[in-house]
Amino acid sequence: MSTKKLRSNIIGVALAALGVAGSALAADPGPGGGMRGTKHDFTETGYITTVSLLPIGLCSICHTPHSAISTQLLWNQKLTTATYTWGDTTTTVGGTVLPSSANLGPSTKCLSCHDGTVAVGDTANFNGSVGGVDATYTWGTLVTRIGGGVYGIGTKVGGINSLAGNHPVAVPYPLNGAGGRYNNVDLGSQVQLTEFVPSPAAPIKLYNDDGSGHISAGGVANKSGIECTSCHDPHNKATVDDFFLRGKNHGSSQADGYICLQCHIK
Amino acid sequence: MKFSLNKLVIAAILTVPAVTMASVGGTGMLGGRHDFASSQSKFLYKQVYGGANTADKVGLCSFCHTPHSAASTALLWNRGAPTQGYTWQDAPKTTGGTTLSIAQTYVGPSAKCLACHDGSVAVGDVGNYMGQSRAEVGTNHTLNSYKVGDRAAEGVGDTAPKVTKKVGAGGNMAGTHPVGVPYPFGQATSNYNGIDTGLEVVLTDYVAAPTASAAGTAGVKLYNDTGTAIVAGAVDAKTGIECSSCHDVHNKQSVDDDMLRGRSYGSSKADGYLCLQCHAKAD
Repeated sequence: MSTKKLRSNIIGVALAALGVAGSALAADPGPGGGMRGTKHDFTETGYITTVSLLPIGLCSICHTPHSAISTQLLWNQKLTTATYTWGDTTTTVGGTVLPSSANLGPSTKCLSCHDGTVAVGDTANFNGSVGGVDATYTWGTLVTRIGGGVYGIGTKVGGINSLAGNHPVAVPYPLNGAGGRYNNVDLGSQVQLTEFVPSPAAPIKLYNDDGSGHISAGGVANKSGIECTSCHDPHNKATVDDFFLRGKNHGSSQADGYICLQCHIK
Repeated sequence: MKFSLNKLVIAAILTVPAVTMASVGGTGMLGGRHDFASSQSKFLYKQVYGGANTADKVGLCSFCHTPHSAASTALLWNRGAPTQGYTWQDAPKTTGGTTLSIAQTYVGPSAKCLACHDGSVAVGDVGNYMGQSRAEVGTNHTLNSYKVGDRAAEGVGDTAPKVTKKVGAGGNMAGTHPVGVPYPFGQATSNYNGIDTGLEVVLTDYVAAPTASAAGTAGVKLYNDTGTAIVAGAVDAKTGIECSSCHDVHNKQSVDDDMLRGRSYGSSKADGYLCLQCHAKAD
């Protein structure tokens, strides 16, 4: 069953029960076209609509202007408490230790939905009602757990809490060919520094760790790192290909925009 | 795109709590959350001046403004300055690198909002009323003892903790959207409240010239920093935002509950959704 078919069936049943008219679904705008109509659009006209059918804001599933869980990103989504393992290995081939948590970094926020442990609609705060930091608060929002499949990042291989088979995140990046420390992880001693682009160009996004765990945008010498959002823009603004990618999913050179080669010199 | 049912677990609708609306956007102050005077006020149970549950003993405006002996000519303010400065204690900067800080001496309107909304003083702790100054009659000259964060008055049947209305308690703004910070008007950097737009802020992620809020029109209200004062209106290189950029405290230019200048829900700027009046994320 196609997604739209499934969704329209769900909505149709609910609307029939309530006797109200439905809203037109927003069309997917394609890469770079913004959030509306993408798989991250959970509004009335979005990809998956709320269980209650009450209207919500495009931003509300993830962000709130008040009573947010963290000031950074004004986060509104219950955070995962999972600690991760990486399946068949504990370090990269270059010796960089794979972290058990992205801690305060943005990847933790991605994984809060994508590891399948927290429902999309477990928001802390909406429309003046406060669920709190550990809310399992579903009024007006969506209850859809993402587990398994291509979107279930933490669960595809090895079950819950496994990041097996995934590219490292919340690890240092060798900005300008130098080592560094990020998310309490040191760049591995066997990493081939010359095999990494010294300073990847936008829209690839590097981050820096101020040492206290606060992650901010931008590469800084000896404290740069990568997150899920280095390659993906969940708002579909700085994207040039499907899957919210900041580079092309296909190609054979850095110049043609192929995403892997924006960082890896191969 | 295929998306099989066993990858979706959709919970049944259990209980939808009763919707409680303490104010309706655009209908003015009467009966709204900032009405401490009329018979429609939800705060009369804490009325001190004239006795509890007595309406119209104090003017609707007097809780914040006075025509004489005001604390500041700007807004003819009738209340004390903040008793503290404000910081976002879990983050000194935004992820884009913009510093977050409001000094106790800040002259922008947000300082006036926070002086009450931090819950440190009662809404009735005014400077001047009926020809008497607070100094003359002493600190017990409290017109109404309700403090922001007290629960009972904030909506009929609304028993959930109302921490959303209490902002900046103890000087900690953690979890609240930045205010007293520059806005990248014209998709260019600004300096405002002594703060520069952060180096990593993606300027193109902001609407260049947001729609101005007006009665019945979703939008926002931008301010500019003259160097000595904060005044209404956007000006190149010195534009910023305040609490009142999104909220109209008099509930005149608001189009949704919570005195919002835009709708609290929606998915596009065109449909009036508040966040997207500034954040260019939808399209």
